[in-house]
Amino acid sequence: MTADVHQTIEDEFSDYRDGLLDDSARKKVEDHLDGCERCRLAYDEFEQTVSALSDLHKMSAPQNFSSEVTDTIRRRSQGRFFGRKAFGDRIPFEWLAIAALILGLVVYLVIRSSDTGTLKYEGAPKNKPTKKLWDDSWQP
Amino acid sequence: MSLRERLLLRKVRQRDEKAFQEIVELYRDRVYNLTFRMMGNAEDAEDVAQEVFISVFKNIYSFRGDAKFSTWLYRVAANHCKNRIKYLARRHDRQKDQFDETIDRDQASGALMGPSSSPRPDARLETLELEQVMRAAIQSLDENQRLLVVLRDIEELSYEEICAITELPQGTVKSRLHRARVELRKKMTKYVKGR
Repeated sequence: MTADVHQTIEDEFSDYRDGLLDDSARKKVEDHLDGCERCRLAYDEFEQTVSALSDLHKMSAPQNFSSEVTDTIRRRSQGRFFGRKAFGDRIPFEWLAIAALILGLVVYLVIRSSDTGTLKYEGAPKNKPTKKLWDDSWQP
Repeated sequence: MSLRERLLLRKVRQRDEKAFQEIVELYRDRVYNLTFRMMGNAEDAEDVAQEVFISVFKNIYSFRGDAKFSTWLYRVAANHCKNRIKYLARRHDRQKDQFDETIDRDQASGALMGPSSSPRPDARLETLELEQVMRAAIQSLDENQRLLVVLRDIEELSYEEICAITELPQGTVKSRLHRARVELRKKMTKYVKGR
């Protein structure tokens, strides 16, 4: 068996372990491992190493980690970060709409109450005597 | 992404402190585990993890929501780790053979469980030793290989997620990861044989 064969099998160790080989490739690796002690030992070491990695203790952040993060943000931004809003959020569209409505109403009332205002209500039109365009008494 | 997570992120965009704290609480351990495995010590890991969350808070608008939030968060964390590793390498001119030195020192003091060592009944001690040896071995990898090992073999993420985080094609991820595992196996041989 040439060294190339062993190397080809070793190149497949990761995919073999992760179950990424198709049936024929997997069988080829298994057949080789069954008949080659050197590769079998190499694979056992490989497998133990990768397993040891996943067995490593999962680290937890220190207990006061979250408060330290927010404290750092507050300190660096001198308190401006939290509560600071984006440009779109900073414009209070609802309040602007209400203010515009109130302003419109005020303008309307002012114009209406003004003496010269065109919106002034003058009551129903009274029956005025119509002025004749010509005098009926006139005789040619 | 869950509805609750979407709501929290929307509030974070409005600079809501409570929502941000909830996000930190949800992801702090995952981010810390990644930064710890990448940096190799608690002090740097905590510093980097803090910077990750500060960066998330500052740049939350750049998260468009078309990927999982955890994927984006891992990407931010990975970039911070790489930047810090490069910065530290420039500053301290780190020694390349740190791992070998650690092993030699441990072997000299009889701390390692080698084939010639007398077996110890204390399993916890053995686990601690394995942890130390593994940590040193992981640290000896370059930061790109280290990231893949941490994401795949420690965090146990899928290849699809790793590709999304690293923005590398799957073939590249697989080949780099395999090289990293082979390198780790070589460094761990002395220890693994004795188990």
